[in-house]
Amino acid sequence: MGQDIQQQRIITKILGKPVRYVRSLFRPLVRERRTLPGILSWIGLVMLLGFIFIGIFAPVLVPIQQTNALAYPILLPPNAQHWMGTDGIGRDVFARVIWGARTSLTIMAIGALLALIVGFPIGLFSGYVGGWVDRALVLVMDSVYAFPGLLLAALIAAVIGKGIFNIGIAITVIYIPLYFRVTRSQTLSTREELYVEAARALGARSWTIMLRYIAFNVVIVIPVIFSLSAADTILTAAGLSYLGLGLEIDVPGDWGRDLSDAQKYLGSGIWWTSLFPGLMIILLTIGLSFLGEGLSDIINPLLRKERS
Amino acid sequence: MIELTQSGDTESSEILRVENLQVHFPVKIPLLQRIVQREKAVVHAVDGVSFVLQTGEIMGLVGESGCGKTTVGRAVVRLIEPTGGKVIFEDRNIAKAKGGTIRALRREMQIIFQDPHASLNPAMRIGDAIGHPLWIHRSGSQSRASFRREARENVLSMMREVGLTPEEQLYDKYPGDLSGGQKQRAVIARAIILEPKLLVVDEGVAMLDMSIRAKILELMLDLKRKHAMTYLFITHDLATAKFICDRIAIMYLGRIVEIGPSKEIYADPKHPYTKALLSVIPVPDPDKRKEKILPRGEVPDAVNLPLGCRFHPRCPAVLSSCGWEGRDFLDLLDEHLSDPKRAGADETILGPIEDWWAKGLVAGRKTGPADAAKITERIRAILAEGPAAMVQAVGTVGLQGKNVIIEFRGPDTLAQTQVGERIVECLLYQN
Ligand SMILES: Nc1ncnc2c1ncn2[C@@H]1O[C@H](COP(=O)(O)OP(=O)(O)OP(=O)(O)O)[C@@H](O)[C@H]1O
Ligand SMILES: [Mg+2]
Repeated sequence: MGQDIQQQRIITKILGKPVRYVRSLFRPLVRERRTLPGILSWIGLVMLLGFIFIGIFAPVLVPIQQTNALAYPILLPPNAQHWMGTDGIGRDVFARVIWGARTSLTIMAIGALLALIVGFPIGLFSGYVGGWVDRALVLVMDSVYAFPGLLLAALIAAVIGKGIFNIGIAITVIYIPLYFRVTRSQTLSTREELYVEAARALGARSWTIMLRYIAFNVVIVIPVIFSLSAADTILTAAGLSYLGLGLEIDVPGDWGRDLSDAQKYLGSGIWWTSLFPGLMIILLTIGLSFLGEGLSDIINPLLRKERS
Repeated sequence: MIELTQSGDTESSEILRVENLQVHFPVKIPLLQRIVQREKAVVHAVDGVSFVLQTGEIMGLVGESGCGKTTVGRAVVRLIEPTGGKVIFEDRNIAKAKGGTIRALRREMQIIFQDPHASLNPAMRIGDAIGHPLWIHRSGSQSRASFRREARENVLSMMREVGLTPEEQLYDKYPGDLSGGQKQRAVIARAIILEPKLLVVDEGVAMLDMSIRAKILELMLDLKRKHAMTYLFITHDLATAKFICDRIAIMYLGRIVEIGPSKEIYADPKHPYTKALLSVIPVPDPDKRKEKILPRGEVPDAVNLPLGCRFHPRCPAVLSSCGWEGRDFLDLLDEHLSDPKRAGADETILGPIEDWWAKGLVAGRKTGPADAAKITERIRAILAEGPAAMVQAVGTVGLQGKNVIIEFRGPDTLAQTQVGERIVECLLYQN
């Protein structure tokens, strides 16, 4: 009995924070559902969830064999069996497109996670410490940010080689500055909160203040940065693949490469091999942009209000 | 034996001595202006404050908004470094103490801020917040698990003590889920869980409604009796101060103008500012209501302080020696010119107020010798409308070079004077 309560307490302690956090994100979304940013966010969220569903259940939706070369006759137009036709080496376009969602989302997740792991702590530290450390970090990050993203990613990809994980890393480098900047500016304003001064009055050390009083109140901006950068991530990843710097050839779905492969058929009126991968890139990008713009419209005034 | 009691009586009963405390904040001004102006502009938030706190007493620090009460509190617990003066806590001057020393002091002195909501971390559970000081000041010898158990027990009993019940449920709540009174109690619990010797309470009850306010005040008195705590109780509310404080210090523009036992001050205020403040306390019995003499005019800003006694421009009992200066004449002139009924043709004779300047004891404007006589005559007429003390303070009016000037005689030196058991800073009581 006592142990049960103890267990219960540990569970709420571990899960309490994330659950609370997610709830605190959804509350404004629900409240703002009738305003334009609210509607945009919801549309974006539903689209993203749809893609995530497709990505996760790709193996169930279409057998992986259909994405292999020479599985079918080449360049069949869309028909009852092949809804989106087949491509130049006999792969089912529909199957490629579905598996491509899985690939894109994986890259996006790796990129976002890495950028978060690196950008968030540095931004927190820089904003809290201030002074010349802060100025130096801002300078470095700003110069990375000023660099054309695709070019930088291509450069890194060329150095470290192909593969989903490597592309994730290449993309990370572009987005670290974004996580850094937003986290830093949020830290700068949180640092001025009375509860931070109260923590100092209790005798807390800088580390404690940074981790226990500031970090938890800064995480609220993460979803905004994520969804603002995610659309770009998708485009950059597709761009790298398009340039031939992206994934290995045997990845079961790769929108960017499929698009680049389909190019040579466009002249002969074969539209289906390029239209569908292109459409997917556009849809996912639009969904993420809706979510990003909507969320930042909702959360930023929320932060401003909290501050005043 | 005798020695012991003696030292106990004389030395250890004084817990805090603040001597001539000064806190000046730099004013943010545009770069260009900073280059042109050679003098650095500062806000004189606290400008020479002295007082002594005896162990176990509650001293009120009272004054209008912006007079520097919070700044005194923050300087005493060393959240900010004083510009000058001493803060002697238990025989040690901590005015210039640094990081580690100050952190160790936090065990002994705590502060409760004006706004309980803003001083709680929204992402920290109430129980954790109250217990956090224990973790911060924990000595490394004990194992984490046993410390955690002990801390939790400690927090729960503290929550019971301040009336945050049911404590088991509230422990896991976040500040957002609590009412204002509960948050206030949580903040108090957090401040006293280490049993500090000195507690600075900044408007501890200002945000609460009447019924809860009385309860929290009772709670503080209770804690004082139980733990022999000493309070510096900051408030702008004299009614609250009367209820709880043994002694009271009245602050005006960064200085204490009157300090003494509450009873004396409430029964018979000496300083004109104290009188004015007391006259605006709501009195329940309408027959007893005195005429309200809230000082006229705005509180002057703390950047360019008035000469002499800072209260003199608003003081109903002002003397000619209180610090009349050029600026005061400009204020009078401005008032006169902006009232069309009285101004008449004065604007054409005296010119717009923008033509006038004031520097120290002198005010004046450029003019030709032809107009000088007329202007001088008008100045005298306008002076006659002002306070009598101001007229008496005028030294010369006349032409000096290319300017018509009006020069005041300087003020008498203001000093703190003992009146009965209190100290007043006012020329009325100096002889
Ligand atoms: N950090 C700061 N920087 C610049 N000026 C400050 C700062 N803190 C306070 N001041 C100024 O110092 C003066 C005194 O402020 P303080 O907060 O001590 O007043 P207060 O008596 O507590 O007022 P209130 O009753 O409104 O709380 C004010 O003029 C204020 O603007
Ligand atoms: Mg204050």
